Amino acid sequence: MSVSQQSKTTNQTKSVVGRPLDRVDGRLKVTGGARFAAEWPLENMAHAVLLSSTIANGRIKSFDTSAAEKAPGVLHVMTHENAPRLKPVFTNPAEGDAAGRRVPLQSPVVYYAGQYIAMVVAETLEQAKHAAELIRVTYDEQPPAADLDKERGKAYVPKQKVAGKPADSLRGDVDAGLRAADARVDETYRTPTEHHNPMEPHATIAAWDGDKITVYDATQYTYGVRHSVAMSFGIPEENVHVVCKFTGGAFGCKGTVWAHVPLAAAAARQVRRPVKLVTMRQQMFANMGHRAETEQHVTLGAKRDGHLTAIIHEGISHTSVYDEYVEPFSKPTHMLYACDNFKASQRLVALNVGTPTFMRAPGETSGMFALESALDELAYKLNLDPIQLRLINHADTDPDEKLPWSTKLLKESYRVGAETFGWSRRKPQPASMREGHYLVGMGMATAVYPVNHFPSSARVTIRQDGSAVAESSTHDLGTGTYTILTQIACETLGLPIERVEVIIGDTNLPKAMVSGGSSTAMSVGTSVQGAARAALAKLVDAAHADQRSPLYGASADQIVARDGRLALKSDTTKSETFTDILTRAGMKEVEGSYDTQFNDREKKFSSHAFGAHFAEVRVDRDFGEVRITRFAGVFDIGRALNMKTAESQMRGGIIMGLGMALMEETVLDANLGIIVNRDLAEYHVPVHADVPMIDIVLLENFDEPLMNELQAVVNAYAEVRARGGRAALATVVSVVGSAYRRPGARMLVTEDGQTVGAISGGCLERDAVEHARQVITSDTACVVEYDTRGDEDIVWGLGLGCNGVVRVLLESLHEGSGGARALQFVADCLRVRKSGVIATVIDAGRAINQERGAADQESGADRSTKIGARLPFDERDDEHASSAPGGLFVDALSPFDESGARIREDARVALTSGRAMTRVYEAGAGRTEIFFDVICRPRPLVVFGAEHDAAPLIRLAQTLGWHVTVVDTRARRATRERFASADSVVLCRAEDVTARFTVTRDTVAVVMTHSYLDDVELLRALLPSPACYVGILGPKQRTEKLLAQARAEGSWFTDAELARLHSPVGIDIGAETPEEIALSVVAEIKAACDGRGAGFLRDRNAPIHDERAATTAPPEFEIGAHAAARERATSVACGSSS
Amino acid sequence: MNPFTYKRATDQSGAIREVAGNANAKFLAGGTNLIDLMKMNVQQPAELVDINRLALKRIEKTPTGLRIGALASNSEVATNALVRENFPVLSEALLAGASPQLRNMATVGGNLLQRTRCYYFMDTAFPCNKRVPGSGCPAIPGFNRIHAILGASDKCIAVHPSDMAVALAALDAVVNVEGAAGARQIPIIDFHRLPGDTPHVDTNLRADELIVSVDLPSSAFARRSRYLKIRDRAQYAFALVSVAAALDVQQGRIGAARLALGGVAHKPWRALEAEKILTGAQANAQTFKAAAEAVVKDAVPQKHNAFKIELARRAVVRLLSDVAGVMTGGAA
Ligand SMILES: Cc1cc2nc3c(=O)[nH]c(=O)nc-3n(C[C@H](O)[C@H](O)[C@H](O)COP(=O)(O)OP(=O)(O)OC[C@H]3O[C@@H](n4cnc5c(N)ncnc54)[C@H](O)[C@@H]3O)c2cc1C
Repeated sequence: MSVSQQSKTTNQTKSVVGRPLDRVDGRLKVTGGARFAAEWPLENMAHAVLLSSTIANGRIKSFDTSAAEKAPGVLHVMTHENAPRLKPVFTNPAEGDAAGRRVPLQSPVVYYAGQYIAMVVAETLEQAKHAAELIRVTYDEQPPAADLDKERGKAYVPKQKVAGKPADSLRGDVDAGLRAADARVDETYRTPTEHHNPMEPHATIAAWDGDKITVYDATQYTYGVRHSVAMSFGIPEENVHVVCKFTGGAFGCKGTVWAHVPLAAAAARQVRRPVKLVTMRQQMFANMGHRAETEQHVTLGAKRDGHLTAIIHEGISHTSVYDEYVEPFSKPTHMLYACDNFKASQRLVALNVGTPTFMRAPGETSGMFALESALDELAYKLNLDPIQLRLINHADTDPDEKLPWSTKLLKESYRVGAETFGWSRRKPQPASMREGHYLVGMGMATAVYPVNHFPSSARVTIRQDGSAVAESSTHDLGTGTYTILTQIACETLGLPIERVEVIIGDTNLPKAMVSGGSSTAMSVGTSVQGAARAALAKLVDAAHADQRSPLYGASADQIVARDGRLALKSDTTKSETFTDILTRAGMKEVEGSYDTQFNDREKKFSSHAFGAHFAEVRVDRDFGEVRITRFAGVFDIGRALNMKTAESQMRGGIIMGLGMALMEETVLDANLGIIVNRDLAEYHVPVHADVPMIDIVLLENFDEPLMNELQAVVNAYAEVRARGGRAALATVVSVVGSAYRRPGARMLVTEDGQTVGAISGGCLERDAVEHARQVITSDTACVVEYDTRGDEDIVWGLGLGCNGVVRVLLESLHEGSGGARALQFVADCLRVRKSGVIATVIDAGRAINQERGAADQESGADRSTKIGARLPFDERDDEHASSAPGGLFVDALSPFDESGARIREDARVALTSGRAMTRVYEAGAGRTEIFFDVICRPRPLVVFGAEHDAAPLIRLAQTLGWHVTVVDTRARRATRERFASADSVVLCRAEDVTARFTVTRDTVAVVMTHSYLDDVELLRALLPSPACYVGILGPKQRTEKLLAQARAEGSWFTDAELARLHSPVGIDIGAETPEEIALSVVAEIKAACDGRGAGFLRDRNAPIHDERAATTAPPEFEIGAHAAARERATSVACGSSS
Repeated sequence: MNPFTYKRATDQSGAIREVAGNANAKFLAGGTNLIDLMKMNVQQPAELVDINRLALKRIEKTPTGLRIGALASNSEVATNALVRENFPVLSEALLAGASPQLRNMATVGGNLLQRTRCYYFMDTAFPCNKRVPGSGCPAIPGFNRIHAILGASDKCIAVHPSDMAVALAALDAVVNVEGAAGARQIPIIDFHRLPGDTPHVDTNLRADELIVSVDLPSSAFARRSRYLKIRDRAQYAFALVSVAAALDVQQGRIGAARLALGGVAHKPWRALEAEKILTGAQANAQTFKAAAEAVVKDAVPQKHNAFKIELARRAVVRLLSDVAGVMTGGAA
């Protein structure tokens, strides 16, 4: 009993990150226990109410505040005539935007309707409100600029950048692009002004104590409030203490410090009492920013086949007359689709409104609407499916930053989305789908959002009672920050949820930046993890140094933390509790801190989240009423820390998008400049009845990090070639001793010194880039040797673990050159996921070391051996048929008899072994060195079921170098932590398996879900798939039942399909334990895939090696050190086929 | 928000006396409209007389139909079995309005007397003839998408926002009121006013008069009545255009017809001309289209609401077809 309980807790603490844990603050929220900014009960608190201007443009002529001052309970009436001088707040964007340039109540000028012009402080809210209404104001009124259409003539070039780019950006030649186009789309799109409208109004409580102030504020940025208040009042930042325990929604409008914050502080200082200031909903429409109105024009040019030849995205948005904010609608267009010719241009129109600000996905929201709509128009014109058009123009690398993507599962998103949603049922002809009074439409769009992160700090304290606390000044906007930080701390510390407390929202805690731009989970989460590790390290130190501890002498890497204990990894019975360690050491607690820094200057990847939206829309054909009836969103957002809160974010974003598309619109009276629909009765956000079922799929871990670099190099070269640029390829061809990267590591260097990929841990790149630029200039190839042993380690090694001799082949790339052919071959291999070998000449001792390039080769003028000459072989153990013949390569070896055959044989060896190797061929005085590089496709094993018996199977398969995917069909999410070593862990319902996976001919599937129904579904999906092996755990009778059930549900299996079914799974070795079963299963897979019987070898009447290995000719003419390499390779080949 | 006194009335005549004695007093029912307007400083009563304790909640059968107490909540009326069976249009209209929480608070009397949702009326930053007589109407040159197409004046183009009142208009309801000068009955069609030169006067109810109940006469057409509301979101939005229709159809011929529209005028708009066309005519698409034409014959669009005219036409055709059980090809 106790044992099973123990193991249950273990599982909980180990896999807590990612679990769909309920919000840890959920109970507080629903019971009213969560204290929002306006709810702090301070003694002797007074209340402030702001009076808003009723004109949009002009000056205040006079105030009559006499009635207000005499009204009951009034403590103070403040106008620009008697307000304290507040200093302007200059803001550094990295510090988050603050109050804007206009300081409140400092002048009689009115810039927009609703602007604060006076403030009343009174004993109660009602008294303050009443008195504010008694203030009489006379104005000098000017006609306002309130209509974008009327003011468009005054559009101007923004002074600031547009999301970091110039307001006018150009890539390639859009005019030429449009001339080359077969089809063209020219459309204008308008998006209205929108308001964030978080549930919780902006609210501030300010309480001074001498020169120090405490501010309780509804904010996304406690440190930003601190900074602004300090600046306004000219006091040191340390004097300002900001508290915000919960934020009731924000969407961007609480990332900025608006005028009410310094005003509350000014009021409190004036009346020498704490003052509470809660803004009214109506005031929030005028004073807290909004998403600016836009008018966008999108021009697309495309070839008949759909390839974009030009994209132009231009237009206007509004800003205020006193400050500048650009709604960066062209931002996603810079990078979303592959197109050489791109132009963006944005202009601003100043209106008498409050300054706009960032609102949930600023730029993407308005810009993607225009771009994606235009793409749909194009698809219609070209008679292409909208998904197909997007696939055709898929950007394989970031066309703007010219960087590879960190991960991009956009194609996958389209595919999974289309399947989840039932895209195939769509009929493209307009009005062709009808239901009753409704016209039914289906549409889709791409989703994109950049990965943002900010430096942030956290502190984690482990207390003697075995509990822990994690602290950071960050915020929970309702997004789930408390919950995910709890999960991260628990997992790192090995503590159950209830023993970890998260404290946030207070500037007395370690600094965190604005909770905006989807940055918090990544930034603060990393800090909390780092701090937890640091705290744990101190605990380990204490145990390590204590002779009485069972962990005495153990080093950090030998110890794990779980269930509130530290234990030896190798023998978990040797453990003790945190409490025991701390008590004996006489320590009350240990504390760890961590500052997360992100180095964006040496950016190697372009990082974005991608996804695809699918919607079914019904339009009443008489009334035009639009209702969304189905929705599916598929997203590649990286790792979800909590499946529930992550999905909630997606769902919430989609609902907000529905609101934007169909109903949200802030309307300004064009004559008076006053917003007419400034409350939630008339500003329509979606209600439940507007929201359909929304299917969310988060694509996790579909990425294959190793492949990614190779793919990135391939893609980057395609890019260089497309734009007519030049580049060199650096390839590690041999390593003696230790080095960070192995032979085969590649790096692409462009003429301007940009790199993609890596050949070392950072120590060789700089020099290699120099050499690369030389070979580009001279259009040559050479091999450079780096010796990082001995003294020179100081120069090269930099302590990065390089201590050896590394040879790097550097070659200029151009059409038809060896390097280009190699990359093409790699691209082919990657595309079809096949294995291959490339033979490369890296030394030709007979001739001079550096040779002229391919031009001569092609002319036939110089038939001597060429460094960098290539001969690719694919899986069929053949010269790569599709690429240029190996002629030149063979010519290069012409002095060697039968060299072609020998090389082919060696290539086969390399392919079989899966290892890169170097070989020297000699004849007479001639000597040629060839590097065999293997592009390996690992055997893909998919294990269905995530019970613990899967673990040994996965471990064993990985030892063999297989690519292992674990599919969890049952839990709310994949139990990633338990299968940390797996290449991929995926949550997927059994019935969705075929939709989520590409099953290929070499896919090996093992079904062990322990669930009858899931197994039925999986059999139905897998048996007809091309998988070469389907094994299923459990006795034969059970499998028979499963098959019967599958047939009853309409499945029909051929004999060939049934022949692939292995049940019971495994070979007969008397396996009992999960480890033994794993051995038996892996052996069976190996045998089945290699067509072997799995019997005893002594009973075998044939050579041990199969035909391929057996025909490998014994080495005849290698020399020197390379013989060893060959031997190793051969023995591996033997091992792997026995 | 002005200071005011609050009194809780315990009997009907006491309540009426209290309000009659103070020109600035108002009855308080559910408060879902009055309190909002007070907070926004649109209305400034000096005294509130809370009538919620009065015995005016009953929904009861009468010899001629149904009597609904003025304090019956919108939810109670909407879900009442007698209402649903005999006056389905009333239940549908109520359920199409506001939200469940609001309907739980809102009363029949308060619903009849709710003020317009015209933006310019609801915000004291604007001038408004309805709020401050003679100050002007910024809606006419301004943003008037939600405004009237029928019966408006150059002083006011606001619409009455109630859904319930539209259904009552189609049901020939009678409002029973009692004031210092005694009780009287006001047919629903005469209860609300058109704006004319006095848009600040919404109804013909006197300041000291209390709505006591509403009478609904039973009829064959009332049993066959429906409500259709077109709005910017699926729920919780005022009508752009709404239609209440009641028909008595015998062998394809319309015996009696009632038709009223919401969202188009300063009062629930009873379409008497259209009813004349319908009565005695064949229940078919042609008849319904003719009726729809009659409804909008005198319609005058504003800058932003011309769409309402076509929308009203189509809504009338759609609903009449639905009530009559006739298929039409749609108005488009
Ligand atoms: C966000 C929102 C959305 C809404 N949406 C809709 C909608 O879609 N459709 C719709 O029809 N309505 C809608 N409403 C309006 C709602 O129906 C009214 O607010 C409600 O019916 C008013 O009833 P009440 O009892 O709360 O009235 P109160 O606010 O108490 O009173 C309103 C007025 O009636 C007077 N009064 C009340 N009872 C009596 C009586 N017995 N005799 C004399 N005078 C009386 C009061 O003095 C006051 O002047 C909405 C309201 C809100 C706030």
